[in-house]
Amino acid sequence: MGVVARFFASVIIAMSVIAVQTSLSNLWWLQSIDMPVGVGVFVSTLLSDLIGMSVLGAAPIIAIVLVGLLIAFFVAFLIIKWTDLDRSYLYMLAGATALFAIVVLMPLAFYNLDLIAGARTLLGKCCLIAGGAVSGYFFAVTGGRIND
Amino acid sequence: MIKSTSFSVFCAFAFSALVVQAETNQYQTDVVVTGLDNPWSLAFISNDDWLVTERSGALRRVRNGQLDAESIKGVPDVLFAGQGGLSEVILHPEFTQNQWLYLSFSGRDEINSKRNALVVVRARLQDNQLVDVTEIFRSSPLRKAAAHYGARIHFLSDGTMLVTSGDGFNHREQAQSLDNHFGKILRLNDDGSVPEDNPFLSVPEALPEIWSYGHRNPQGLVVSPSGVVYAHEHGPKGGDELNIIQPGQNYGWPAITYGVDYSGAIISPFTEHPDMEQPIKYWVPSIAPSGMILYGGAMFPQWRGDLFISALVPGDVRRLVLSDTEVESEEILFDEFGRLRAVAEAPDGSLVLATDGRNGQLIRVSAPQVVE
Repeated sequence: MGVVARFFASVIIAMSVIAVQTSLSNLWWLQSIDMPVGVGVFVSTLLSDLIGMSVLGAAPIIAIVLVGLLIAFFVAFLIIKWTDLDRSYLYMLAGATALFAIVVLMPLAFYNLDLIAGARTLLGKCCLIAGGAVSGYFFAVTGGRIND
Repeated sequence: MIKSTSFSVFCAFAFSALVVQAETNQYQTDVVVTGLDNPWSLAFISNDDWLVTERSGALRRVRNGQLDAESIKGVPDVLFAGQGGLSEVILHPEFTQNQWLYLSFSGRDEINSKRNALVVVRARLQDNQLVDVTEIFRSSPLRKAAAHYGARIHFLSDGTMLVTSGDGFNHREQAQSLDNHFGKILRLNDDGSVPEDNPFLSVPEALPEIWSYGHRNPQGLVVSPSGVVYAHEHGPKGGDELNIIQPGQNYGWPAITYGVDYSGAIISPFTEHPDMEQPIKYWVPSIAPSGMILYGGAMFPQWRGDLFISALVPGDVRRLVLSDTEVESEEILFDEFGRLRAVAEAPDGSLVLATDGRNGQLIRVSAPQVVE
């Protein structure tokens, strides 16, 4: 798998985590106030969020994630080039850092508004940062030394 | 025969031209004031003496069409950030006797300056200065974000006042809980105390000021002569609403909504629920409703009883014709000025519009002057 394909797959993984976490947190709350959340509602909401958060939002989350991961992975690539640090851990850290910047630092620039609803809780932030780590791990393990 | 036919045709054309003239020239607009810094709300001491808030924190006075160079002193410090700042100014119903006026604004917490709240103060206006400034309400709990304050105030005929309190953007689910002020319309006595007949007084852990709940960011509030309370609120991406507010009712946000999140995510897949009230009108896409009046003036008798809603997106006023309490039709007016933050009715029945943003303007809408 070429580096470009791996990178875009990593973006999709991160976006999927964001969308799933957003859907789950919304639907969990709706169910907690006795709204009729069934399997059909769950599936349709999940699909809608996967598409909607990628391409339909006023704030293009996928573009923000793409830019964030691009910068983070590039920095990780440079560090790998000059050090002997384990690539898997570095790319995981890079992915986590990118999502940390998006869910923790970005709101600071917007009067503390959490534009990603799933990031409004500490647990939500941790899930999304973990999603970034997963995308970084994927990018690392699917690449060989030659492709770097 | 030919002459009389020609004359008839001529008369028909002339009459048509007059009708068209009357319809297109039913009002004239004049820019009265320029250079306001984010104007938000207007109040009329008299037809020639206006108060206008600037969100940046100043209370200004317009006398005989001229903006006083100095702002009114004594206004409390406000948090001017994001959507926050000095918001509503409204006169007490007996202002001419007691000189009380009310301001709403976003205020920093005194202990933790990183947190803020919706604040309402009462003050007397004396010699172009506010005195006896007293805080009568502060929303709870505090918030970090500077958005969605609501901040609109309106008096009911019984002398109590309604205050809209937004969901704080990050706390939308709290609009469905009665133990906080997020996403609520509140009812207070004119001194900030709680009326004895508020609907949730006997509900354990409910805040006593709450009158209705399940709102997002209500910024329009009017009461009809017959006591019907209309409120509009910003939806997310789509889903702005106009509601008839009744005490104790749940208006659904965010469990039901006609909008989606700005991120593109679903906020709720539901638009209805038997225990939640439906709007009498909603807008998709959003118009970002910012202010509202129920017209009752003499200058435009054809508009009496209509709702006028100022809108930020793209910027116009929506005139809603009501039939009983239903919206019969909607007309778009005044769409040449850009984003409109407020619409108000002056004592003479003219309308005053406020544009949004820096270098805000006040525009007077009045009946066309007859040229002799």
